[in-house]
Amino acid sequence: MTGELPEPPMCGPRRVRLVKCVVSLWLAYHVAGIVVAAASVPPSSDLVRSSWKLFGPYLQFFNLNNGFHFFGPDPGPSTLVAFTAERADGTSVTGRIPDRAIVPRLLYHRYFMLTEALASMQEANPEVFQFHVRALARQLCRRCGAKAVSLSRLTHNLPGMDWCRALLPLDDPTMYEEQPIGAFQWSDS
Amino acid sequence: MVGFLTSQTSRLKTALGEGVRRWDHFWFAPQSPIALCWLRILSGCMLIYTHVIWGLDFDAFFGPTGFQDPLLVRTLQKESAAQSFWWLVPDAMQWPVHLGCIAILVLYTAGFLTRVTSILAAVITISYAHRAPLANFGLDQVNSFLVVYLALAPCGKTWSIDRLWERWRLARSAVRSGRAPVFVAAAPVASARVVTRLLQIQVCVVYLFASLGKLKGEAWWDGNAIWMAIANQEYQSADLTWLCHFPWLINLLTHFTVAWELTFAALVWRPRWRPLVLAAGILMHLGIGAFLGMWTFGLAMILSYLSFAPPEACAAIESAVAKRFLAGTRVITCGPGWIGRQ
Repeated sequence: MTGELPEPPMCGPRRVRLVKCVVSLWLAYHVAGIVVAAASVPPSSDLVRSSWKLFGPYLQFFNLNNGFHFFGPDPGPSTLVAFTAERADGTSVTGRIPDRAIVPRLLYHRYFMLTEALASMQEANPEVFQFHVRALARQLCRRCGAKAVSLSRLTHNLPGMDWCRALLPLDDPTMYEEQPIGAFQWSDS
Repeated sequence: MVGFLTSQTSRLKTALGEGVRRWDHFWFAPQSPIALCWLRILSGCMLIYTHVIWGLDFDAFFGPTGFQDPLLVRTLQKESAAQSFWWLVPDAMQWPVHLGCIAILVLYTAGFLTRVTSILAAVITISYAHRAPLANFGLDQVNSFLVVYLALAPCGKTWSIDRLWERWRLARSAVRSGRAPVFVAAAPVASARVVTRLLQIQVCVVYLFASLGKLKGEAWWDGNAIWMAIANQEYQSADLTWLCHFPWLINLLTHFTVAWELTFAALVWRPRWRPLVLAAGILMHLGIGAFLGMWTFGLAMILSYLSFAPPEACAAIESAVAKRFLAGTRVITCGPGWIGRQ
């Protein structure tokens, strides 16, 4: 059986109007903020960058300060980190981050984002890049039980369609560019 | 002159009044919270999964000597308002706190003390994202806006343990007083409308700026961007490089992706276009999941489409479920704005 309840007991119209006014102001601020956050990805105008000061802290606090530039401006080559860790007994361990054997996929993606962040930091924020590299080296030494580790940045270039039409593999060694990052001792990590 | 001014003032007042009325209807017209409750359950499952996966290598990502040690993250966030409760957790307590967080996310998903657990879920999600910013990607952005907006909504009003508890108390009271049990359907409320609109606008902003970002690049104009995505071995989870024999198809998919993202914010508001636009989005995200390995991100975006589900259809489904499983119980629908109990 279906019935209708009587009209709800509402708070007074003046109070409702006041609440709606306050909420409306917040909504206008919030929506403007998420638009400015996305629009402030470089290149952006002075106006947008100035507006960011108004919204930035609020959006950062709620982790809503995102640009949403997925695969933009262009899907680029991947960045990996190759490492050689040397143990005290003279043996060594080599590997790459991210390792495609990592499962589940979400965990693999976390590692992938670490190395992608490394690439973006190298140019954008050298101080953070240095800290990032040291943290990577220390964690790899711990994980491998090593006393020293050397790191290289690997850029995996994207092949053109002709490359695949010729049945050449995506992981052909010529597709990688290696750039040494440095050698780290466990004691200074 | 006076007559002209009077008429213009009158027209302005009318236009302003109409604008206020439309604003009020757009943001505050009471709406059923059912879709938001479904979204709580589905996005809550995604949150649980996301945080369980963090736990598979917890020390590496959150430990004091992990990939993102405090010095690194603090330096990265030194001019940011990003906060995380992880800065307050002693090293020895990290694992118990992590397990506690997952337990809270389970309670939130099940709709237990939802008013409290929804806020805690938002705090947890944001804190993890801010503690491990270098390992974040689109999934964390979508998780964040879903859980933050849902914390503002009555997302435990139905399909929740809170609701079951309330029904049990009402049924017990009815039986004791010799009346038939009553099922009160979730009432339309203004807060559900506000949160639904925020979600809808957020999704539009995501796609609009995703497309504008793409338009800054050359590959999205020359038609090769999709090739560059599928030829990226680190993303690849299924091999689509055989598409190199069909460059026209790659061009078509590239142009379609940009056109769809660019027009999403305009077309999704039109009832006739909405199913088509959302269906295309679902296909695109399933494709990203299947071929680029980002199932979690793709599914999270698809979940956000629930904000575009017609409230009447959601209410009809709930009503049908109630009638199916609550035979012999009176089903009562509530008028707009009803926020009290029966």
